[in-house]
Amino acid sequence: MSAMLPLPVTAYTAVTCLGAGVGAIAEALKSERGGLTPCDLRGVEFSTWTGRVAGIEDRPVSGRLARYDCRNNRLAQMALNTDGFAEAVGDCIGEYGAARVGVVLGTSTSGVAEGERAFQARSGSGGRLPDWFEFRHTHDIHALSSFVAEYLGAQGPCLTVSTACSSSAKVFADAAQLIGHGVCDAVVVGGVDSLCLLTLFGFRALELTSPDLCRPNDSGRSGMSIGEAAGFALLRGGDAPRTGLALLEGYGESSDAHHMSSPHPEGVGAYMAMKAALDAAALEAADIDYLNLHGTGSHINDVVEAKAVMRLFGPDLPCSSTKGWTGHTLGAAGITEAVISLVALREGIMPGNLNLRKLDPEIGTAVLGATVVAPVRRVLSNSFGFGGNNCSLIFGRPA
Amino acid sequence: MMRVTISGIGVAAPGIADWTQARAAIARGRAGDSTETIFPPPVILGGAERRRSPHSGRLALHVAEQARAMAGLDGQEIAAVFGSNTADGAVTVRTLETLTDEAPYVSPTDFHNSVHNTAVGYWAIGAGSHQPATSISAGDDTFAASLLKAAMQTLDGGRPVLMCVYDIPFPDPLRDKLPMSGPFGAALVFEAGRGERTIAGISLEIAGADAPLTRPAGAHWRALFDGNPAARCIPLLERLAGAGGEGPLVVGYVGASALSVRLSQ
Repeated sequence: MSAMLPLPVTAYTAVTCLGAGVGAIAEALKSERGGLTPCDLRGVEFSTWTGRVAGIEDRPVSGRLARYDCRNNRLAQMALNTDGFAEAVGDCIGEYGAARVGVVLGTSTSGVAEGERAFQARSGSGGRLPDWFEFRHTHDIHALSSFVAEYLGAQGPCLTVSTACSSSAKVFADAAQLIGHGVCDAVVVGGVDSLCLLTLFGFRALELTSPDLCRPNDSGRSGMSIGEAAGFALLRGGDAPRTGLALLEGYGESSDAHHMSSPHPEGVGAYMAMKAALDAAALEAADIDYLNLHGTGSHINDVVEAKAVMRLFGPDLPCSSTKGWTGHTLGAAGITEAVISLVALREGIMPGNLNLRKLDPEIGTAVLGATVVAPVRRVLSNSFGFGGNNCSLIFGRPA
Repeated sequence: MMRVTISGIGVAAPGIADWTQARAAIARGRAGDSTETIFPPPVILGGAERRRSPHSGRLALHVAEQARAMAGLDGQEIAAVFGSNTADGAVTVRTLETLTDEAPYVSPTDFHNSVHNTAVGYWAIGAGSHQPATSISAGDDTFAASLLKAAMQTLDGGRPVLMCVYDIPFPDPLRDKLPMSGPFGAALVFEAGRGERTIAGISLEIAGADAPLTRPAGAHWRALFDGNPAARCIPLLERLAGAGGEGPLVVGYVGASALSVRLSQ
């Protein structure tokens, strides 16, 4: 394991349906006000709720980076300009040099909505795609990372992790490796996913989305609500002081090796990822104060995750899914919930499990109803994706 | 400087179904007569998964299985780093086309095959591996990023790592938007130390931005090399086959810096 843990997190931000920035997240968590609304996306006739970010339509990517313009990159741009994040990266580049600052971002669909637009604009089913469609800079899975690296002027290793819903959690592991092996002095991690027809129709075909507001862990839950979000964090190694805003203390990754779209029924992979994160952090289960569940609101995810949590942590660890606030932001879920975890550490709160009415009796874990004000020293956050791809992260307050 | 060893190799390209055929093509300095690329139903998957596996996944699993078998390792012991630009282009086109219909229908199979990590997901299922697995892209430098990630993962994770890079041309109408010269897939198994199955040692170093990309020695590879990001591993394969010269190779760029590798026997 890399000798670099714990790693300082010296900046972080997110833009979600709750608004722009960590202040908006903190406010929403404390006031129990979620951001999900009935889906109003053109082309979606069925009933579903989404976490839509306001204002994307008004903020194009322009100038020298105009070829990157699409919903996903616009959302990225919004987040880069929130909470002074781009400035913090600029300071790193000034200190270490551009080639020593890497960019590792997660996304599941990148700018696919631009591809959807292009296919719709085709004249007839045999026609060419329009000339305005810049596939490589929008739809391409790596377009997001390319855009963000160019936008920030970072010239270190730049890659995209695309493992569905664990994507922007795994990026923290990549950053720790790059810093630990001396390839980078700082790494911008994060992820972005935006609303598109592919995921709305696709998850519906798998019967994983709810016609109503998602209610993770609820006995009456009927599926996910899809959200969009952009989030970023800046990890530094080298001679950065072991303080900063928070520490990445550990990470764990695993595979279910079971099925492409359902989790292992005993939560084997989930257990392994959480255990590996504790081991990487040299911590015991009792050292975690709050656990941010993957908690999608799908029947199977929530009950399987609870089994794994129960097995490792027992019935008393306060835990919750925060997807009732933001929706399931898919490739951005990892970073969105990492940022929520960092907000929890900073504010001294344990977010409740928003939209919970009655806890599923099959779920024996200590799922919080409302947000609790309490000292929080260490948070573990879960992200589990299609293909049985699992990642758990542990964040802590500096000593 | 990172040092790991290579204990397994798999290759598939037009006219080349495995490492033996690749070595023969490298030795005689020309491709085979066939231009067919092989996409066999994956042997490691059970009936339902085998039927559902998409085209690109078949290529990836074919080269992955070659490398694993050569390394003599149990799939359960191996972590995975898969790298691709296109993932599955046929599924991408099919889903985008259906989304223009009056009543779009994305099939469940097509949807879970549309994620970038489909191939590595199927691999983990077939191999029964619970180890970490990732699916990455770095555009034209996907091979360099995959190689670097695999080396770091090998050293940090205490387990062998299977690296697999694959890219297949998109069907129409996306073909023109990301033109590719042909399908290509390659896999390497990395381990931390030397063993009975070690083929070569490999060391990786970050070099300056102006170090030029090493191109294939064999002229017949150049169209594939220039037109398929996964084929950037060809110069390394030539060296592993004992051809293509000596000294360090620049296999691509990680950001602005060159990734330079050296083999040792």
